[in-house]
Amino acid sequence: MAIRRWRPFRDIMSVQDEMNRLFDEFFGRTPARGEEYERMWSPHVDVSETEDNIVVTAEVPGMTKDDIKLTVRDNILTVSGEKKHEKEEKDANYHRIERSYGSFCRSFELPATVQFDKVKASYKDGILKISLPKSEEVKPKEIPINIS
Amino acid sequence: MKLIRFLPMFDFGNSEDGNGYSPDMDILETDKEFVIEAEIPGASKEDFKLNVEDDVLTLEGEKKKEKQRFIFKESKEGRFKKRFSLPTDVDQDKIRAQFENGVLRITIPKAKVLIPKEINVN
Repeated sequence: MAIRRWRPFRDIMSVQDEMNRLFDEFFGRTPARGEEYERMWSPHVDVSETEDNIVVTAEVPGMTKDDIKLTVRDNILTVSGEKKHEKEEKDANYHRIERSYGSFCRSFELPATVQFDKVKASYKDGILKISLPKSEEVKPKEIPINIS
Repeated sequence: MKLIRFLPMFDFGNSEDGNGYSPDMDILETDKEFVIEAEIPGASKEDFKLNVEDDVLTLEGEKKKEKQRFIFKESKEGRFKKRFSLPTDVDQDKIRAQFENGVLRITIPKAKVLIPKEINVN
């Protein structure tokens, strides 16, 4: 047997690490690089562009519009909310769970060419749609040229 | 060895003629009924077809998306088909479905025999 330095707290530390890992796994948090923890759930988001708008759509089925919070600070658009398990089903026996529940938070950096004060949002059939109107300068303009 | 989820009441068929899209589903059981909840955001109730044949419940549908110029895209869409073999003691005539906030909820009531009864001992 090799002789090792006596470090009385080593075992305790490793037990603590192990417990943290267990908890993180159980609650679905995967430790990212550094100390940030990633949330368990992240809705699918599409970003598309029309002539007048940049449109952000997020798939958040099973939520109501009161569960969703939308903010713009500086040029960061943040969508957050919580999808709750319905109360009546607490004593139900689950055979399969594929849907995701819990809090989510996603942020997007908006280009400076968006009119922040005119952002509109709507919620229908599980889809949150955020319309960000482009400012006049960047909208495509048609310039008629007279041929003489 | 692989760990396989224990599904005593439902035997799942995989999505057959699908192209990779499959809605996320929960299946739960209470004393009185089985409930299937499928997340199909952006669909409307006309997009689904539900039928029961030979104790197999089939849910077919399509999630569509209008053509857009995407900057980036995470969502998926396409046709899907899911089959569930029903337990024998359910009331097949009373299966209901409703679509709300992007979630399709199919309720399958149990036949009376299955509902547990409490018997008092005198």
